[in-house]
Amino acid sequence: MNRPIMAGVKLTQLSKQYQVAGQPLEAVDNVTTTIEPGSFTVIVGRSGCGKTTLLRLLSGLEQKSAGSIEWLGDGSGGADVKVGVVFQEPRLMPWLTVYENMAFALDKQPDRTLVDRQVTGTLEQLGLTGFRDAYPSQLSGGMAQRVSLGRTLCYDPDLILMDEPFGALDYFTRKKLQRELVDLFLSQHKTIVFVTHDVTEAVFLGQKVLVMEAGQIVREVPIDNPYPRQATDPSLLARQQEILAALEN
Amino acid sequence: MFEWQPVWLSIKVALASLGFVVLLGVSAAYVMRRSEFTGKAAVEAVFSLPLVLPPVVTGFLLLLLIGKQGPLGRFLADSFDLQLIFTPYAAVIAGTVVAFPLMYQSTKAAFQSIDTKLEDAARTLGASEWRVFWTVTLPLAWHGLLSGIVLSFSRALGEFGATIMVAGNIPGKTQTIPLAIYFAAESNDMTHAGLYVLIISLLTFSLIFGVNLWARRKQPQATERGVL
Ligand SMILES: Nc1ncnc2c1ncn2[C@@H]1O[C@H](COP(=O)(O)OP(=O)(O)OP(=O)(O)O)[C@@H](O)[C@H]1O
Ligand SMILES: [Mg+2]
Repeated sequence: MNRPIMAGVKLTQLSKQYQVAGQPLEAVDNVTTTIEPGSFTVIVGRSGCGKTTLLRLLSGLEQKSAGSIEWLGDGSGGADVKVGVVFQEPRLMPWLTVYENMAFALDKQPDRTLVDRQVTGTLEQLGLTGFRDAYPSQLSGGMAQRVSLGRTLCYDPDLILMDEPFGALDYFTRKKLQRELVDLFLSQHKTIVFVTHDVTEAVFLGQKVLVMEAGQIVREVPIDNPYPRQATDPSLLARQQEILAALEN
Repeated sequence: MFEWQPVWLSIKVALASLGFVVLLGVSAAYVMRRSEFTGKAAVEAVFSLPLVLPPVVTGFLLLLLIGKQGPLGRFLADSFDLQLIFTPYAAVIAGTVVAFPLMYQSTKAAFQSIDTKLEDAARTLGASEWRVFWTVTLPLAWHGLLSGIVLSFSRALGEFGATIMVAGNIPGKTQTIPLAIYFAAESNDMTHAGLYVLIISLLTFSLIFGVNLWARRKQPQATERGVL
């Protein structure tokens, strides 16, 4: 079940145009960049700059207007790359329990014992074992977001897209989940693309930070600091300043 | 002598109509939700037509279609030696046509009120469109669908005008409760007419009451308003 596949993606002049009130709007405008297999990329940018649209293009929920999306990675060959998404809100099925929500991602697995093993393992990994039979309405925001992440992990994607997944959480929960995400990245070797407003979060998590503005990538900031990082590390703070400066331009 | 025959026939006809109506109404709403084409508004209007046309007009149009001289009627007679007119099947067709807009509208409204976020989430977990429909869209739209089911069943059960045009009033064969009421009252048999009135009223009341009760049990979110 755990195929050792990490997918990267090469975007070439990727564009997405919407019609808003009869006017064309370039939500994603000529984006060219490469996301390496097994890398952790963070996208930052002001509200409305096209971050979500870019993720929706990558996840196949939206059709591109122009350009190309080319999958990279060991053995993926471009075909049938599994892309998982963690949204800003948990988006759990309210009529399914925590366990059933996670098992939803494993529907194509006919062997129920394997499903059970995977779900139980993921519940354990995320500290959710006690909530196995709870319904989403009975969970706190942080717990629900954990379940949402767990559901995506159960799907076992080659590339995980995360759209401000911790945006609605309080400071402490957010810090905790950030650390857990780094641990997960280190242990599972997944390719992750993570969108956030929070520049501190961006430099804490990413190996590369893409700064977006008006549909375009205006800056790529590599961050070579090894994990786990200290948020107070001066070199991280310097990267943070650099990103803020790019955003304020 | 009081006859139970119209009661059973009415229930059978209404159930059969309901089956077709659910299938057609939900499919139509699903297709219309996902497609944009010129003339969509016209198609929508046609779908709602049986709701605004007098039933007797709907019946007349159906008669033109499936009657002995109608294109469909003649085709079925020639190819399959099948006659629909003045049979219970014609009553089912009439019930289906008049009840269709109710199911269609309820389903359409239910689909419109759905937040597509959960459907998107399911898609990103590898679910096919077919699976998204059964495991996400339907549970979300369930409430509206149920009220469509109740409305269209009741509508088919009470159908008179179109039914009498295409199925006629053949006691023991095509006479449903509404027809039995009309003809009993016409021949001044108020006792029997009243009995049928009582039965059909009880039937529809207990249906709505029962479904509301069941919906309340089944889905806590539905309690506030009931189904209808
Ligand atoms: N379905 C749509 N139809 C029309 N315009 C859209 C649609 N989706 C997004 N847009 C427009 O595209 C632009 C980019 O939107 P997008 O949601 O990608 O921004 P974002 O960077 O994710 O913002 P935020 O940080 O607020 O989430 C916005 O101007 C938005 O109005
Ligand atoms: Mg967004």
